[in-house]
Amino acid sequence: MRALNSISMRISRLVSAIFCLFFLFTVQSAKAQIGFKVSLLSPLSDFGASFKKAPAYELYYASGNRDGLIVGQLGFYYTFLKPRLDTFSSYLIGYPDSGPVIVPGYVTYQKFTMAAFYIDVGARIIRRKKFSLLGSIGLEGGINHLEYTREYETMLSETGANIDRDFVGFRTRLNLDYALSKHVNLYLEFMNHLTTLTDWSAQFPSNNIGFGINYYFKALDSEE
Amino acid sequence: MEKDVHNYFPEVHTDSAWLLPDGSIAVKGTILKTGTGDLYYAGFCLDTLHNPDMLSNQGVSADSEFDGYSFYYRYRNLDATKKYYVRSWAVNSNGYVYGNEIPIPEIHLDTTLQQCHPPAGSLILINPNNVTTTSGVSYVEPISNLGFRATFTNSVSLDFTFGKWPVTGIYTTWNQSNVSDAFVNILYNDPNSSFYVESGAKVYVTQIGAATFDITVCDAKVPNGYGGYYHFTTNFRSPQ
Repeated sequence: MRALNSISMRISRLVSAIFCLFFLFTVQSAKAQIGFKVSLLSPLSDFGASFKKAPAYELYYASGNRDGLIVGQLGFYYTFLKPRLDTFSSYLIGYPDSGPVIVPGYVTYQKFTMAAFYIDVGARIIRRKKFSLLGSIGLEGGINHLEYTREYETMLSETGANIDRDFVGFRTRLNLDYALSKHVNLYLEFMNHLTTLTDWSAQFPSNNIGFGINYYFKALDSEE
Repeated sequence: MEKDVHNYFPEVHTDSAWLLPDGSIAVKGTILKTGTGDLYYAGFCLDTLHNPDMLSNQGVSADSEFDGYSFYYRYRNLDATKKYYVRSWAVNSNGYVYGNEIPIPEIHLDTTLQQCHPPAGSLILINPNNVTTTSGVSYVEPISNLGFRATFTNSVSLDFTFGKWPVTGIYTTWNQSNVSDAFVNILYNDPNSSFYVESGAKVYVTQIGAATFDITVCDAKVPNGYGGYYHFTTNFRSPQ
């Protein structure tokens, strides 16, 4: 477990470092593009039991021209989620000699945000006229911030608690891209996140569906 | 469409509660659905107030003890003079839920199971020569917070000591002074000697009031100090 935690932490830092380097060295590249995306994040599994669907925002730099087979992307991702209930039932289990004792309690969430840097690599699967279909896979690493209150009868009361925790994960994307103009592409995207805290104590899987826009600093020669 | 948040949690139903012959209460519940997380435990909670809290007289059944989707628990040593309510609960990895509340039936002994039915307020004594005498009860008084003394017209007295304050139920005599919950120690006193009643006799207790009990002892055996035994059967109410 300790080895896994160490690897997770290193991945998170590596993603952040690569993002910074990419920003420094590629913004002037002829093939550089920037983009912005808004998507609807749908939490899955136990994550979905606690939090509602929420908008997620991404701002990124990408390399690879419009006709290229391989595209790469580095970006920043942020989302803010609201709990599905005002109060969630929660419990602790004690194990005295007489057998298990279930101690009831509750937890309320005041705030939950996720912010991450990511890097992914994709390939243009199909191109028909101005439409393209791209698939990509990547890594992400960041921090989630949780503010909560919880209480268990006779045992624990925690008000105004907050915690910041590192997380890492994989992301897979499928884009339907449309070349709107020489410099601008619009796209529809389907994405899946598989993320976990670096101590592996909780996972935050989600699906996203959203719209994005890419701006190419330099149009293709054939389009000038 | 977003999944209903309540579908992540289990759903449980409190089916029934019934009186057992010894005055204890059995309760049964059913898991209607486990929710999306692993179901860990289900059980019951009981109180004299409506909507018992999970920690109130909590009875726990692990999922390994379930009979299909049914689970059971047995409550003993309930106060027969009080009205109880019970409800089920269940926990999975997402949280816990309560089931519906039902009342507990009136607690009493099934007297058809009693091994004897002596006249009220009597002591029927058989000496080692098989001579039978019948005496009446003179008075009953508490002797500690766990027992009382019944004194009879033949100058015999019986000191009852329970492991905890008695409730409706069937107890068994234990011939040592340190008794646990389901047992009672009886010290037989006559003008010449005192001896502990032998282990194994049945004592039927019906709680009538907060501190009033109807007590029947069936065929208890006590040594007479000369190698023989007295046998006795008694019924009385305490304290008076």
